Amino acid sequence: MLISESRKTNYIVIEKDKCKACLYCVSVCPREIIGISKEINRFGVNYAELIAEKAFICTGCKACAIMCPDLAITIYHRSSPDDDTTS
Amino acid sequence: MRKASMDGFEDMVFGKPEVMEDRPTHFCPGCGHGITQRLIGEVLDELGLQERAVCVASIGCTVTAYAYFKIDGLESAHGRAPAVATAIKRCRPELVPFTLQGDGDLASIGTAEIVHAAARGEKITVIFANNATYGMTGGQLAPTTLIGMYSSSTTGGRTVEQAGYPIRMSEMLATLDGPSYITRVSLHNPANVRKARKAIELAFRAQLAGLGLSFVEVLSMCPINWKIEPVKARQWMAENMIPQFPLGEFKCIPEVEALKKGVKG
Repeated sequence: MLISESRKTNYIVIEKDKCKACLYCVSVCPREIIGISKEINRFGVNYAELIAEKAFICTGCKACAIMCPDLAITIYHRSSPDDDTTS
Repeated sequence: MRKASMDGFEDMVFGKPEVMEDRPTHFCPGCGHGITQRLIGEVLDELGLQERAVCVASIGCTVTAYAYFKIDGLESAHGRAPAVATAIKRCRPELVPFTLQGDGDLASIGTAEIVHAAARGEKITVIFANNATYGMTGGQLAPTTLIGMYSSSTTGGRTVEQAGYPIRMSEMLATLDGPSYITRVSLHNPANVRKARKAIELAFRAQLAGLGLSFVEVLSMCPINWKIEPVKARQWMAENMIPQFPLGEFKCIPEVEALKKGVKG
């Protein structure tokens, strides 16, 4: 089964109360799926957030998470029940 | 970590290392120390050192490492972290002490300690975060500040007549026979962060193998004191700091070279 046919997807979660808006994640994302929010968080900054319309094109490359100085980004990989790989 | 979801499974493929606390950091936006500490956390997880590692933090922005790691830690006097780590290693050889030091700490007031710890070939690991400025105290001139670079104590830029030349610690220590592994890495883009993680892991593996001092110099961003916004600071570091502080390995004894096979990306 081709990857595109499977239901494998990757998604990222950005914890808004850890983000200090350095925007490294925005600058390194190859698919440009991370944007800047209109609201502010507890640090008083416009935090980075996932652009909902583009979320499904995340490739799970981890570039955003490994550049994040504040451990705010977690990456998940979703796979269908019949697919037993954990990669 | 795998959990069942509505339509299959969800695996966490990247997240906070187990050895680190779940809390916001106190660092300024875009500070490289957060990345450095996370890399150390990942390596401690990878090598299973949570019970054995001892963090010796020195003075500077690195000092609050105790708040982020769930491991034993000590605060040393300014610049004296290698001496404290030496004592820990000699008294309790089964422990894995590592020091986390900034450039104001290691390259200025702590020069004597690091040079002699390296010359004695102490079996400790030193992580040296070089951001070319005194971050915690407000961006004063550090020994590693670049020529012409603004600092709050050389507001017209560093001049050679007034403040001399920047020190390259890695090259300096590489002339000694004691250290087993000396390298300089950078955090300015994801590829280099991955290399930095490998270097830190190799440094810990060198210590576990009982080889001499392992030293990783991490070029780190300090956007607040450089007065540059974080994303441009990455660019600035690549264009200005790396020519002055070239990346690469300056010393890698054959025993450490053999350990490279075990290091995963």
